[in-house]
Amino acid sequence: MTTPELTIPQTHPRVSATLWVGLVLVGLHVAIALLSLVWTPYDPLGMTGGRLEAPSWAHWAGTDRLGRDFFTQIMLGSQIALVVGAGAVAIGGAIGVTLGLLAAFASRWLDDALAATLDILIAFPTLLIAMLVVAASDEANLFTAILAIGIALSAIVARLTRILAKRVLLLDYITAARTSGTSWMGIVLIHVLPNIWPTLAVNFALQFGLAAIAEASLSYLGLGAPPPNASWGHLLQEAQGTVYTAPIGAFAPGLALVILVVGINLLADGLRDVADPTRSAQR
Amino acid sequence: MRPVLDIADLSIAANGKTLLDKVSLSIAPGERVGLIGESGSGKSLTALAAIGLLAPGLTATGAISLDGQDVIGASERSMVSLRGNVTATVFQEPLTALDPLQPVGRQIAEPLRRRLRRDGEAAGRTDVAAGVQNLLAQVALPDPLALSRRYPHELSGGQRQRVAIAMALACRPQLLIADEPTTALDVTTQAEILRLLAKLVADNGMALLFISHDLPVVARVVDRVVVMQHGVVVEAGPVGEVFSRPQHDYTRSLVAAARSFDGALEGAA
Amino acid sequence: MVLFALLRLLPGDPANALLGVGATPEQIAAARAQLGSDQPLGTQFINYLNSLARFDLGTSFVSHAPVLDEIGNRMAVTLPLTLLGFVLALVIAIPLGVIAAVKSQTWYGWLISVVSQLGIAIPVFWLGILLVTVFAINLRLLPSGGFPLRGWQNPLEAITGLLLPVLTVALVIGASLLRYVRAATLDVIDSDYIRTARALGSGFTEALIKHGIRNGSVPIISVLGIELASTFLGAVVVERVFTLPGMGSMLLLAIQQRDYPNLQGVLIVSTLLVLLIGFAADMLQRLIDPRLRDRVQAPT
Repeated sequence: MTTPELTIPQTHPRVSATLWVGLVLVGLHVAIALLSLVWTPYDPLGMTGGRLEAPSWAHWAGTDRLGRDFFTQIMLGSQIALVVGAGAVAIGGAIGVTLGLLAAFASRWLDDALAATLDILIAFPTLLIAMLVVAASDEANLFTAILAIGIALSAIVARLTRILAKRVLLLDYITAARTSGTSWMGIVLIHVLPNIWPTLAVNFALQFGLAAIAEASLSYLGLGAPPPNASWGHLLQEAQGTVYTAPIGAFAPGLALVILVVGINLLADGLRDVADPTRSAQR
Repeated sequence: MRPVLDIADLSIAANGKTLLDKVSLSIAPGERVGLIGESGSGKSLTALAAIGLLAPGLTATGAISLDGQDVIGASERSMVSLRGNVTATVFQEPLTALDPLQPVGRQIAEPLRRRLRRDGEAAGRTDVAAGVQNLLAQVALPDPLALSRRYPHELSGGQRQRVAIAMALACRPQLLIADEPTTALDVTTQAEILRLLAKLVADNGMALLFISHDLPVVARVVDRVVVMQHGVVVEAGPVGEVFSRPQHDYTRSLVAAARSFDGALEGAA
Repeated sequence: MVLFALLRLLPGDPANALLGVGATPEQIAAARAQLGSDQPLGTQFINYLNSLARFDLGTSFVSHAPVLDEIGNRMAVTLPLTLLGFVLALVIAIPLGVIAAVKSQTWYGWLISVVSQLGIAIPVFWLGILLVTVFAINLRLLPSGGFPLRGWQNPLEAITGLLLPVLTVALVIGASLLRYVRAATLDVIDSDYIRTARALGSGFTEALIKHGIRNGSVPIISVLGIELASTFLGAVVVERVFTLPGMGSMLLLAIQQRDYPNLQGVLIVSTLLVLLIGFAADMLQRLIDPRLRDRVQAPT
């Protein structure tokens, strides 16, 4: 109760702007990915021009070392980034929320053990955990990449869910519900999930961005989906070899990725302001 | 005599919303004034505006003068020389108002050293240490030497508030502003702190601006009260007069509530 | 123990990987006996603990060099890379983060925040490639990658090789640290103790120095611990971009070649480092914050 007079009524002129810019940037990628399902400027595998051509009206982002249209490949890269992002967040979210709720409801020692394990896992970067999961699978493909990143993200989600759920469980009316004999499944569905959902949703949006970066990094390291799946990370890895002659190749896919991630982060910020207008004022 | 604090037609707005509307208030040297109102009535805002520490985003219009110097529109540098010199402030929540990571002795030493230098007195290590012990004794804290080495979280709420008062005293201000200084404390401690404040103000000849939502509390330490509601001054006058003949409905309800509370206490006793 | 389980979960027979396709079943059996992978899991685990206690991480399947020696050589690249990059990140993040918070109402305070927002969205490897393009190819100032074979025998050459990787690490980590520094500074500025200090005549900057640095550093230190650990562990990408022979490329190579002793060695050493950093951060926080020191004795 510190001087309530000081809470300044905040109106957020920037909030909706953040949300809108984020929506437009992400929407752009979704639109391009959808478009590339039915139409691309060129056959992605065909030799459609000279090797390593500079950008021109015919080839907006030039051509790669096999003469394939680079813009077409970047368009297809949107698909992979979005699929991996959505898939990894779905897997990471499902595992993470389940584990987190389990820990929150578990007996004292099991909860402590889970919390300690999660705290250590958090220190390992998403990419490293994903690398090990890929290493544990027989071959690197799109699905292992999604699974690996999903598992890597699940630790972050689990930790957050556990903290949020424990906070909710301390509320008086939950204690009342528990003592009155509502099953724990009922408590989760009726009380816990609706309460923690907004914060989780914002976090999922941020994880989507993390997943997109992790996927590009895996592909860059040669542990992602194998060619001809044109991941941006893979494009960058190839373009790095020809950066002396065709620098555009090392630029365009990265820019596409950064636009997507910035868009998602802005979207998450905007969502947070909508979900919880009190604490967002300055962050 | 020139007032220590003179507020005339002070209005404060945030994002076009008016929080304070044409508030006027004047405190003469040595005078004790109470500012009463429920939370959100703008009383703390008035105090912060007086010392030029309004949160960014709040705009103040009107006139405020501290010891004859303009506050609104004044440079930060000239405000720094007024704060701690003309005024010192004790805030509501002593736990957060003190730096949690420094022993309280060092926190009292900081304004004390500043005041000693200002007054051209010796401000060496031993002078400051002796001054700190003296201040801790003045606020009636036991075993000052051991206490000065302890951290805020190791003290009780009442002890922390005494430390905060000692810090304000170290400034030797003309005007002590006490912003709900007893609200965060239990009833017994409240009474002790009130007695201490009244004694220190009298001993040092300071003026006092005492802010509270609690009418009986204010009545015990001030000569004159100003009642605020929704950012407007609704009534002002000597304590006895306002209590016996409240003019405004809001004041009447405050007085009635205080009486029934007292009555309940007496009935129980 | 977690590591042990994780490593045994990796499919693919190490003996197969060692001998390559086309080995006879007898050869494979012999190789398994030699590696101990034909023993029951329990025995394997005891052997594992045994060798750990003797700081023996085994020898590489591929190069047959002792794992610990290999790690030592590669640490000579990754440790300087991580530490220099991290220190430079701090040099960037702390002043800019404080400015972004204190001057959040000005255009440059806003600009710093926006640029750092961009910074956390940029993948490490792309930033590396961009820096190579600018500094190594366009300006021809620095090598685009590689590390002298003779290592630190020629310090100048080694340092030059590390400059761009260090800068890459520093910018990425710096952008993320900056946001934490800014948030911590905003908390400090809003705090009651700063208001108290100012109300008693302290200047704003003076109050920030006397009370803000300590208070702001407590939350920052735990972030620093995590970021330092992940800088070290994330070195794999930077080392790939600049073809540096560090821990990260050792890990990547071990994964590709299914070189279990090397993989296990890198993970054990990394985990120890992560735990050590976490412990150090914890100690440092206790040193600064008396409330954390007291919590052990009196949980109130």
